[in-house]
Amino acid sequence: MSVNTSAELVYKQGLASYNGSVENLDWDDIQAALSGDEAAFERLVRRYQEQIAQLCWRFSRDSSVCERLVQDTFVEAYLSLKSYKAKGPFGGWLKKIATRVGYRFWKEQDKARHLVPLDDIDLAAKENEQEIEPEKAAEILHSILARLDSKERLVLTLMYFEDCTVREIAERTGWTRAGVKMRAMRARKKLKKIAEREKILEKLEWMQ
Amino acid sequence: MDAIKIIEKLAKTAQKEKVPQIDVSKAVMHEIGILQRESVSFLPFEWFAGISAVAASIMMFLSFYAWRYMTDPLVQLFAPFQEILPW
Repeated sequence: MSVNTSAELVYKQGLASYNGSVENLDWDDIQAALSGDEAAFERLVRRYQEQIAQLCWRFSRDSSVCERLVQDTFVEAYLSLKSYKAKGPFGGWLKKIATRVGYRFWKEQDKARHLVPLDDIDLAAKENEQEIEPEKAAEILHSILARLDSKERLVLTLMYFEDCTVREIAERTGWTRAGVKMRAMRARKKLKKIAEREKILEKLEWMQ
Repeated sequence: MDAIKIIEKLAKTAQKEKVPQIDVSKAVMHEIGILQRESVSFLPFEWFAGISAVAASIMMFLSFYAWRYMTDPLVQLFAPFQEILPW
């Protein structure tokens, strides 16, 4: 028996386009939320908020800002739920919105951007430490990437933190693949210069 | 080691980072509730605007006909004499 039976039924009834890529549970909740069932949307929020928070954390390491970005993502998702065509997983659609919300936040912050000096971050190796802690690594990477402009930062953030391919970045941002490749190339060049200027290699030579 | 290689190594480690747990479900539903109430309170205004527009178009239609049949008072003064043939 098919896993997506009720979703297929909705499709057959012509209520929405369906290609089998949406989880059955999600599909039921989406349809219920579209019919005005707020509890169904709350279930969707609970199901996906962790994934979205993970992504939003890449845009701001301030937990209150991150929370605000997650909240904005779900409110935007609710307002445009009708436009969800079920051409891909619901989580992917939400991540697309979260990327847009995060990018918009960066653009707003561009004018009054406050860069954390890398000297303020403790880059020295702890005693008997073989590997850097994930939190520390993320903090350093976040501060380095913050020195790029928003578009280049977005490409490398999705590439490095989210392990996204060029195709995935293009889908999330709405840019062309060639555009993403070009931005990634430029960003890496800039990053190399920044690393030299900030003497990252010397500071992290214990990692080599 | 190349700076980019170091950054890529950092990125691999950074991916394992544990993100702080948050629960926004209540806040999201609260914000959606506010947005919905705002849209509901906006509805009567839309109705009022719609009805006013309909009333205005009816008045315009009627006034157009009234304008067509409206005559100049000066013309009205000489109108009875038009029936008298000067010859």
